[in-house]
Amino acid sequence: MILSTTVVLVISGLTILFGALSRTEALRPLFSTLGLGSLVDEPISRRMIAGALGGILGGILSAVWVWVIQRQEIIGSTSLCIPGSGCVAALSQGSSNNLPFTGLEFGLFFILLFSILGWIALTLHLDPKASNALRLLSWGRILSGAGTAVAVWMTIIHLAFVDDSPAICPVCLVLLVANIVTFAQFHLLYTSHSNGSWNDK
Amino acid sequence: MNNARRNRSFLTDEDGSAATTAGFVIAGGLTFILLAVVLFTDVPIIGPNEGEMAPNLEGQIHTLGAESWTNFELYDEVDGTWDAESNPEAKWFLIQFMDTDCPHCWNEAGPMSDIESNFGDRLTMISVAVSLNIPSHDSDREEVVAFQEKASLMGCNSGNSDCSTRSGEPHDWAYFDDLDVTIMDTWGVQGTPFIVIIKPDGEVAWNQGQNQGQEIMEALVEMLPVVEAA
Repeated sequence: MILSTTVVLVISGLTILFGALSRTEALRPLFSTLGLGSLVDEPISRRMIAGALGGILGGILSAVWVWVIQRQEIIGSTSLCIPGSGCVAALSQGSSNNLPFTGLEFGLFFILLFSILGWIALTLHLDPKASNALRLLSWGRILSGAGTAVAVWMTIIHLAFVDDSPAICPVCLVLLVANIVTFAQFHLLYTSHSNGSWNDK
Repeated sequence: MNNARRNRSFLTDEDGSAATTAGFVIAGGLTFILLAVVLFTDVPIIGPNEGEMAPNLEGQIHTLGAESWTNFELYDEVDGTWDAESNPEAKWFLIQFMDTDCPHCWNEAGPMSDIESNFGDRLTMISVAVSLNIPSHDSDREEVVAFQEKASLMGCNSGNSDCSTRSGEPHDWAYFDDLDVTIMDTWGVQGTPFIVIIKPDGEVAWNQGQNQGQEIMEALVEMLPVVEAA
Protein backbone atom coordinates (compact mmCIF):
# COMPACT_ATOMS: atom_id res chain seq x y z
CA MET A 1 0.00 0.00 0.00
CA ILE A 2 1.12 3.54 -0.71
CA LEU A 3 2.98 4.88 2.35
CA SER A 4 0.97 8.09 2.80
CA THR A 5 -2.29 6.15 2.64
CA THR A 6 -0.97 3.69 5.21
CA VAL A 7 -0.02 6.57 7.52
CA VAL A 8 -3.50 8.07 7.14
CA LEU A 9 -5.08 4.69 7.85
CA VAL A 10 -3.02 4.25 11.02
CA ILE A 11 -3.67 7.78 12.33
CA SER A 12 -7.40 7.73 11.59
CA GLY A 13 -7.66 4.17 12.93
CA LEU A 14 -6.01 5.22 16.21
CA THR A 15 -8.20 8.29 16.67
CA ILE A 16 -11.34 6.25 15.98
CA LEU A 17 -10.14 3.59 18.42
CA PHE A 18 -9.58 6.34 20.98
CA GLY A 19 -13.14 7.50 20.37
CA ALA A 20 -14.57 4.01 20.70
CA LEU A 21 -12.72 3.26 23.94
CA SER A 22 -12.98 6.71 25.52
CA ARG A 23 -15.66 5.56 27.97
CA THR A 24 -13.54 2.74 29.38
CA GLU A 25 -11.71 3.18 32.66
CA ALA A 26 -8.53 1.81 31.14
CA LEU A 27 -8.25 4.81 28.85
CA ARG A 28 -8.82 7.38 31.60
CA PRO A 29 -5.07 8.02 32.19
CA LEU A 30 -4.52 8.56 28.48
CA PHE A 31 -6.43 11.84 28.62
CA SER A 32 -3.70 13.55 30.63
CA THR A 33 -1.10 12.23 28.16
CA LEU A 34 -3.09 13.87 25.38
CA GLY A 35 -3.14 17.21 27.20
CA LEU A 36 -6.72 16.76 28.38
CA GLY A 37 -5.78 16.28 32.03
CA SER A 38 -8.84 18.18 33.17
CA LEU A 39 -11.00 15.34 31.86
CA VAL A 40 -9.29 12.57 33.81
CA ASP A 41 -11.53 12.98 36.80
CA GLU A 42 -14.58 14.08 34.84
CA PRO A 43 -17.66 11.85 34.38
CA ILE A 44 -17.73 9.28 31.61
CA SER A 45 -19.97 11.48 29.47
CA ARG A 46 -17.42 14.30 29.36
CA ARG A 47 -14.73 11.90 28.24
CA MET A 48 -17.09 10.42 25.67
CA ILE A 49 -17.60 13.85 24.12
CA ALA A 50 -13.84 14.18 23.74
CA GLY A 51 -13.81 10.62 22.39
CA ALA A 52 -16.50 11.51 19.88
CA LEU A 53 -14.30 14.39 18.72
CA GLY A 54 -11.50 11.86 18.22
CA GLY A 55 -13.72 9.57 16.16
CA ILE A 56 -14.92 12.55 14.12
CA LEU A 57 -11.32 13.63 13.49
CA GLY A 58 -10.53 10.13 12.22
CA GLY A 59 -13.63 10.24 10.05
CA ILE A 60 -12.68 13.60 8.53
CA LEU A 61 -9.16 12.37 7.84
CA SER A 62 -10.32 9.24 6.03
CA ALA A 63 -13.05 11.23 4.21
CA VAL A 64 -10.45 13.70 2.96
CA TRP A 65 -8.38 10.81 1.65
CA VAL A 66 -11.37 9.24 -0.08
CA TRP A 67 -12.18 12.61 -1.69
CA VAL A 68 -8.60 13.16 -2.85
CA ILE A 69 -8.55 9.69 -4.42
CA GLN A 70 -11.92 10.37 -6.07
CA ARG A 71 -10.66 13.68 -7.47
CA GLN A 72 -7.51 12.06 -8.81
CA GLU A 73 -9.56 9.27 -10.36
CA ILE A 74 -11.41 11.86 -12.45
CA ILE A 75 -8.47 11.65 -14.84
CA GLY A 76 -8.17 7.90 -14.52
CA SER A 77 -5.28 7.42 -12.11
CA THR A 78 -4.44 8.02 -8.49
CA SER A 79 -1.11 8.15 -6.74
CA LEU A 80 -2.64 7.12 -3.42
CA CYS A 81 -3.66 3.53 -4.22
CA ILE A 82 -1.70 0.59 -5.56
CA PRO A 83 -2.64 0.10 -9.23
CA GLY A 84 -5.15 -2.72 -9.56
CA SER A 85 -5.96 -2.72 -5.84
CA GLY A 86 -9.43 -2.75 -4.29
CA CYS A 87 -8.96 0.92 -3.47
CA VAL A 88 -8.77 1.73 -7.20
CA ALA A 89 -11.59 -0.65 -8.13
CA ALA A 90 -13.88 0.82 -5.48
CA LEU A 91 -13.27 4.52 -6.06
CA SER A 92 -12.42 4.78 -9.76
CA GLN A 93 -16.00 4.73 -10.99
CA GLY A 94 -17.20 8.25 -10.41
CA SER A 95 -20.78 7.42 -11.32
CA SER A 96 -21.01 4.82 -8.54
CA ASN A 97 -19.40 6.91 -5.83
CA ASN A 98 -21.89 9.73 -5.65
CA LEU A 99 -24.88 10.40 -3.47
CA PRO A 100 -28.07 9.65 -5.40
CA PHE A 101 -29.90 12.70 -6.82
CA THR A 102 -27.25 15.21 -5.69
CA GLY A 103 -24.16 13.87 -7.46
CA LEU A 104 -22.14 14.81 -4.37
CA GLU A 105 -19.01 12.68 -4.12
CA PHE A 106 -18.95 10.38 -1.08
CA GLY A 107 -15.66 11.86 0.16
CA LEU A 108 -16.93 15.45 0.08
CA PHE A 109 -20.25 14.43 1.63
CA PHE A 110 -18.52 12.83 4.61
CA ILE A 111 -16.17 15.82 5.06
CA LEU A 112 -19.20 18.12 5.33
CA LEU A 113 -21.12 15.69 7.54
CA PHE A 114 -18.23 15.18 9.98
CA SER A 115 -17.69 18.95 10.07
CA ILE A 116 -21.24 19.44 11.33
CA LEU A 117 -20.84 16.58 13.81
CA GLY A 118 -17.51 18.09 14.87
CA TRP A 119 -19.21 21.44 15.51
CA ILE A 120 -21.84 19.71 17.68
CA ALA A 121 -19.27 17.73 19.68
CA LEU A 122 -16.95 20.72 20.08
CA THR A 123 -19.81 22.93 21.26
CA LEU A 124 -20.71 20.34 23.90
CA HIS A 125 -17.06 19.90 24.86
CA LEU A 126 -16.58 23.64 25.36
CA ASP A 127 -19.88 24.10 27.19
CA PRO A 128 -21.21 20.82 28.59
CA LYS A 129 -23.89 22.68 30.52
CA ALA A 130 -25.38 24.27 27.45
CA SER A 131 -29.14 24.53 27.74
CA ASN A 132 -29.59 23.04 24.29
CA ALA A 133 -27.28 20.05 24.91
CA LEU A 134 -30.02 17.47 24.50
CA ARG A 135 -31.15 19.01 21.22
CA LEU A 136 -27.57 19.05 19.95
CA LEU A 137 -27.14 15.41 20.94
CA SER A 138 -30.38 14.54 19.19
CA TRP A 139 -29.17 16.20 16.00
CA GLY A 140 -25.81 14.50 16.37
CA ARG A 141 -27.52 11.14 16.67
CA ILE A 142 -29.76 11.76 13.65
CA LEU A 143 -26.94 13.05 11.43
CA SER A 144 -24.45 10.34 12.42
CA GLY A 145 -27.20 7.75 11.87
CA ALA A 146 -27.76 9.13 8.38
CA GLY A 147 -24.00 9.12 7.80
CA THR A 148 -23.80 5.49 8.89
CA ALA A 149 -26.59 4.57 6.47
CA VAL A 150 -24.75 6.29 3.60
CA ALA A 151 -21.47 4.61 4.59
CA VAL A 152 -23.18 1.20 4.63
CA TRP A 153 -24.67 1.96 1.21
CA MET A 154 -21.22 2.98 -0.08
CA THR A 155 -19.76 -0.29 1.21
CA ILE A 156 -22.53 -2.31 -0.45
CA ILE A 157 -21.81 -0.53 -3.75
CA HIS A 158 -18.11 -1.39 -3.45
CA LEU A 159 -18.84 -4.99 -2.54
CA ALA A 160 -21.53 -5.68 -5.10
CA PHE A 161 -22.00 -3.09 -7.83
CA VAL A 162 -18.69 -1.69 -9.09
CA ASP A 163 -16.73 -3.43 -11.83
CA ASP A 164 -14.33 -5.99 -10.34
CA SER A 165 -16.55 -6.26 -7.25
CA PRO A 166 -16.18 -7.19 -4.48
CA ALA A 167 -13.73 -4.33 -4.05
CA ILE A 168 -12.26 -3.89 -0.59
CA CYS A 169 -11.18 -0.29 0.01
CA PRO A 170 -9.40 0.04 3.39
CA VAL A 171 -9.89 3.82 3.68
CA CYS A 172 -13.60 3.41 2.97
CA LEU A 173 -13.88 0.72 5.64
CA VAL A 174 -12.20 3.04 8.15
CA LEU A 175 -14.73 5.69 7.12
CA LEU A 176 -17.55 3.23 7.78
CA VAL A 177 -16.15 2.39 11.22
CA ALA A 178 -15.79 6.12 12.01
CA ASN A 179 -19.46 6.61 11.19
CA ILE A 180 -20.56 3.67 13.33
CA VAL A 181 -18.42 4.76 16.29
CA THR A 182 -19.65 8.35 16.06
CA PHE A 183 -23.26 7.22 15.88
CA ALA A 184 -22.77 4.92 18.89
CA GLN A 185 -21.17 7.76 20.86
CA PHE A 186 -23.97 10.20 20.13
CA HIS A 187 -26.59 7.55 20.87
CA LEU A 188 -25.04 6.67 24.24
CA LEU A 189 -24.56 10.33 25.11
CA TYR A 190 -28.14 11.13 24.20
CA THR A 191 -29.41 8.22 26.29
CA SER A 192 -27.31 9.17 29.32
CA HIS A 193 -28.35 12.82 29.02
CA SER A 194 -32.03 12.18 28.39
CA ASN A 195 -32.94 13.19 31.95
CA GLY A 196 -31.27 16.55 31.42
CA SER A 197 -28.01 15.86 33.26
CA TRP A 198 -24.75 14.18 32.34
CA ASN A 199 -23.74 10.78 33.62
CA ASP A 200 -22.01 11.44 36.92
CA LYS A 201 -20.01 8.24 37.10
CA MET B 1 -37.31 38.91 38.20
CA ASN B 2 -34.46 40.97 36.79
CA ASN B 3 -31.93 38.52 38.19
CA ALA B 4 -33.73 35.59 36.59
CA ARG B 5 -33.76 37.39 33.23
CA ARG B 6 -30.08 38.23 33.59
CA ASN B 7 -29.29 34.61 34.43
CA ARG B 8 -31.25 33.32 31.45
CA SER B 9 -29.55 35.85 29.23
CA PHE B 10 -26.17 34.82 30.63
CA LEU B 11 -26.93 31.17 29.90
CA THR B 12 -27.98 31.96 26.36
CA ASP B 13 -24.87 34.03 25.77
CA GLU B 14 -22.72 31.29 27.20
CA ASP B 15 -24.30 28.70 24.88
CA GLY B 16 -23.84 31.05 21.97
CA SER B 17 -20.23 31.66 22.86
CA ALA B 18 -19.34 27.95 22.85
CA ALA B 19 -21.27 27.38 19.64
CA THR B 20 -19.62 30.38 18.00
CA THR B 21 -16.14 29.33 19.08
CA ALA B 22 -16.78 25.78 17.85
CA GLY B 23 -18.17 27.21 14.63
CA PHE B 24 -15.04 29.27 14.01
CA VAL B 25 -12.78 26.29 14.74
CA ILE B 26 -14.71 23.95 12.45
CA ALA B 27 -15.13 26.54 9.68
CA GLY B 28 -11.41 27.31 9.80
CA GLY B 29 -10.49 23.63 9.70
CA LEU B 30 -12.95 22.93 6.91
CA THR B 31 -11.68 25.85 4.83
CA PHE B 32 -8.12 24.65 5.27
CA ILE B 33 -9.05 21.08 4.28
CA LEU B 34 -11.01 22.11 1.19
CA LEU B 35 -8.33 24.52 0.02
CA ALA B 36 -5.58 21.95 0.58
CA VAL B 37 -7.44 19.25 -1.35
CA VAL B 38 -8.33 21.56 -4.24
CA LEU B 39 -4.81 23.03 -4.47
CA PHE B 40 -2.87 19.81 -4.07
CA THR B 41 -4.92 17.51 -6.28
CA ASP B 42 -4.07 18.86 -9.66
CA VAL B 43 -7.19 18.08 -11.65
CA PRO B 44 -6.92 19.61 -15.13
CA ILE B 45 -9.72 21.45 -16.86
CA ILE B 46 -11.91 18.87 -18.52
CA GLY B 47 -13.36 19.76 -21.90
CA PRO B 48 -13.20 19.07 -25.63
CA ASN B 49 -10.98 22.04 -26.49
CA GLU B 50 -7.29 21.75 -27.32
CA GLY B 51 -5.13 21.67 -24.23
CA GLU B 52 -7.93 20.43 -22.01
CA MET B 53 -8.35 16.94 -20.60
CA ALA B 54 -10.81 15.07 -22.81
CA PRO B 55 -14.08 14.22 -21.07
CA ASN B 56 -14.52 10.55 -20.30
CA LEU B 57 -16.30 8.08 -22.54
CA GLU B 58 -18.01 5.62 -20.24
CA GLY B 59 -20.45 3.16 -21.71
CA GLN B 60 -20.57 0.22 -24.10
CA ILE B 61 -18.70 -0.46 -27.30
CA HIS B 62 -19.03 -2.89 -30.17
CA THR B 63 -15.97 -4.22 -31.92
CA LEU B 64 -15.90 -5.68 -35.41
CA GLY B 65 -17.34 -9.21 -35.45
CA ALA B 66 -18.29 -9.22 -31.77
CA GLU B 67 -21.66 -10.69 -30.82
CA SER B 68 -22.30 -8.36 -27.90
CA TRP B 69 -21.50 -4.88 -26.60
CA THR B 70 -18.94 -4.61 -23.83
CA ASN B 71 -18.19 -2.02 -21.16
CA PHE B 72 -15.63 0.62 -22.00
CA GLU B 73 -14.11 3.62 -20.28
CA LEU B 74 -11.76 5.97 -22.09
CA TYR B 75 -9.96 6.91 -18.90
CA ASP B 76 -8.98 3.26 -18.38
CA GLU B 77 -7.01 3.51 -21.62
CA VAL B 78 -5.36 6.84 -20.86
CA ASP B 79 -1.79 6.90 -19.52
CA GLY B 80 -1.51 9.97 -17.32
CA THR B 81 2.27 9.62 -17.10
CA TRP B 82 2.83 9.50 -20.87
CA ASP B 83 5.81 11.42 -22.23
CA ALA B 84 6.29 11.91 -25.98
CA GLU B 85 10.10 11.73 -25.83
CA SER B 86 10.40 8.51 -23.90
CA ASN B 87 7.39 6.81 -25.42
CA PRO B 88 6.76 8.23 -28.92
CA GLU B 89 5.15 5.02 -30.17
CA ALA B 90 2.26 5.14 -27.65
CA LYS B 91 -1.12 5.12 -29.38
CA TRP B 92 -3.07 8.36 -29.69
CA PHE B 93 -6.85 8.41 -29.76
CA LEU B 94 -9.06 9.51 -32.63
CA ILE B 95 -12.65 10.06 -31.52
CA GLN B 96 -15.23 10.49 -34.24
CA PHE B 97 -18.78 11.55 -33.40
CA MET B 98 -21.09 10.18 -36.10
CA ASP B 99 -24.69 9.29 -36.86
CA THR B 100 -25.50 6.42 -39.21
CA ASP B 101 -28.33 8.53 -40.64
CA CYS B 102 -26.18 11.60 -41.30
CA PRO B 103 -25.28 11.96 -45.02
CA HIS B 104 -21.89 13.55 -44.23
CA CYS B 105 -21.05 10.65 -41.90
CA TRP B 106 -22.14 8.27 -44.65
CA ASN B 107 -19.64 9.93 -46.97
CA GLU B 108 -16.91 9.99 -44.32
CA ALA B 109 -16.99 6.19 -43.84
CA GLY B 110 -14.50 5.72 -46.69
CA PRO B 111 -12.01 8.38 -45.52
CA MET B 112 -12.19 6.87 -42.03
CA SER B 113 -11.12 3.54 -43.51
CA ASP B 114 -8.21 5.38 -45.17
CA ILE B 115 -7.16 6.86 -41.84
CA GLU B 116 -7.29 3.42 -40.27
CA SER B 117 -5.18 1.85 -43.01
CA ASN B 118 -2.57 4.65 -42.83
CA PHE B 119 -2.45 5.28 -39.08
CA GLY B 120 -4.09 2.21 -37.53
CA ASP B 121 -0.89 1.18 -35.76
CA ARG B 122 -0.51 4.65 -34.21
CA LEU B 123 -4.12 5.33 -33.28
CA THR B 124 -6.88 3.90 -31.14
CA MET B 125 -9.94 4.88 -33.15
CA ILE B 126 -13.38 5.14 -31.59
CA SER B 127 -16.57 6.12 -33.39
CA VAL B 128 -19.15 7.54 -31.01
CA ALA B 129 -22.48 6.63 -32.59
CA VAL B 130 -25.21 9.13 -31.78
CA SER B 131 -28.79 9.47 -32.95
CA LEU B 132 -29.44 13.16 -33.59
CA ASN B 133 -32.83 14.39 -32.56
CA ILE B 134 -33.91 15.49 -36.04
CA PRO B 135 -36.42 14.03 -38.51
CA SER B 136 -35.44 10.77 -40.27
CA HIS B 137 -32.61 10.14 -37.77
CA ASP B 138 -33.55 7.07 -35.79
CA SER B 139 -30.47 4.91 -35.34
CA ASP B 140 -30.40 1.90 -33.11
CA ARG B 141 -27.69 -0.57 -32.15
CA GLU B 142 -28.57 -2.94 -35.00
CA GLU B 143 -28.07 -0.14 -37.52
CA VAL B 144 -24.83 0.97 -35.88
CA VAL B 145 -23.43 -2.57 -36.09
CA ALA B 146 -24.57 -2.90 -39.71
CA PHE B 147 -22.86 0.42 -40.54
CA GLN B 148 -19.67 -0.64 -38.75
CA GLU B 149 -19.54 -4.10 -40.31
CA LYS B 150 -20.82 -2.93 -43.68
CA ALA B 151 -23.59 -5.49 -43.39
CA SER B 152 -26.83 -5.52 -45.29
CA LEU B 153 -29.55 -3.54 -43.52
CA MET B 154 -31.84 -0.98 -45.05
CA GLY B 155 -31.95 2.15 -42.91
CA CYS B 156 -28.59 3.93 -43.01
CA ASN B 157 -28.17 7.42 -44.49
CA SER B 158 -31.54 8.74 -43.27
CA GLY B 159 -33.18 5.45 -44.15
CA ASN B 160 -32.32 5.82 -47.84
CA SER B 161 -29.47 3.33 -48.15
CA ASP B 162 -28.48 -0.20 -47.38
CA CYS B 163 -25.68 -0.02 -44.82
CA SER B 164 -23.60 -2.47 -46.86
CA THR B 165 -23.32 0.04 -49.71
CA ARG B 166 -21.37 2.67 -47.82
CA SER B 167 -17.82 3.45 -48.94
CA GLY B 168 -14.74 2.01 -47.28
CA GLU B 169 -14.02 -1.27 -45.56
CA PRO B 170 -15.70 -2.81 -42.51
CA HIS B 171 -14.49 -0.63 -39.64
CA ASP B 172 -12.08 -2.55 -37.47
CA TRP B 173 -12.32 -0.23 -34.47
CA ALA B 174 -14.73 0.28 -31.61
CA TYR B 175 -18.16 1.84 -32.03
CA PHE B 176 -19.35 3.49 -28.83
CA ASP B 177 -23.08 3.59 -28.02
CA ASP B 178 -24.17 7.19 -27.41
CA LEU B 179 -27.52 6.92 -29.10
CA ASP B 180 -29.08 8.99 -26.33
CA VAL B 181 -26.46 11.72 -27.05
CA THR B 182 -25.50 12.19 -23.38
CA ILE B 183 -21.78 11.90 -24.14
CA MET B 184 -22.14 14.19 -27.16
CA ASP B 185 -23.73 16.83 -24.92
CA THR B 186 -20.96 16.43 -22.34
CA TRP B 187 -18.37 16.98 -25.04
CA GLY B 188 -20.25 19.99 -26.34
CA VAL B 189 -20.33 18.62 -29.88
CA GLN B 190 -22.84 20.51 -32.04
CA GLY B 191 -23.09 18.29 -35.11
CA THR B 192 -21.77 15.25 -36.92
CA PRO B 193 -19.35 14.14 -38.19
CA PHE B 194 -16.92 15.64 -35.70
CA ILE B 195 -13.41 14.48 -34.89
CA VAL B 196 -11.17 15.05 -31.90
CA ILE B 197 -7.60 13.76 -31.64
CA ILE B 198 -6.34 13.00 -28.16
CA LYS B 199 -2.81 12.40 -26.87
CA PRO B 200 -2.08 9.16 -24.99
CA ASP B 201 -2.27 11.09 -21.69
CA GLY B 202 -5.82 12.24 -22.44
CA GLU B 203 -5.07 15.84 -23.47
CA VAL B 204 -7.03 17.07 -26.48
CA ALA B 205 -4.47 17.73 -29.21
CA TRP B 206 -6.76 18.63 -32.11
CA ASN B 207 -10.38 19.64 -32.25
CA GLN B 208 -12.01 19.80 -35.67
CA GLY B 209 -14.02 22.84 -34.65
CA GLN B 210 -10.84 24.76 -33.83
CA ASN B 211 -9.10 23.75 -37.07
CA GLN B 212 -11.67 24.44 -39.76
CA GLY B 213 -10.36 23.47 -43.16
CA GLN B 214 -7.42 21.36 -42.04
CA GLU B 215 -7.48 17.75 -43.25
CA ILE B 216 -7.36 15.11 -40.51
CA MET B 217 -4.56 13.15 -42.21
CA GLU B 218 -2.52 16.34 -42.47
CA ALA B 219 -3.10 17.06 -38.77
CA LEU B 220 -2.04 13.54 -37.82
CA VAL B 221 1.16 13.77 -39.84
CA GLU B 222 1.95 17.07 -38.12
CA MET B 223 1.19 15.91 -34.59
CA LEU B 224 2.15 12.26 -34.20
CA PRO B 225 5.67 11.91 -32.80
CA VAL B 226 8.24 10.48 -35.17
CA VAL B 227 9.05 6.88 -34.34
CA GLU B 228 12.54 5.87 -35.37
CA ALA B 229 12.76 2.52 -37.13
CA ALA B 230 14.33 -0.22 -35.03
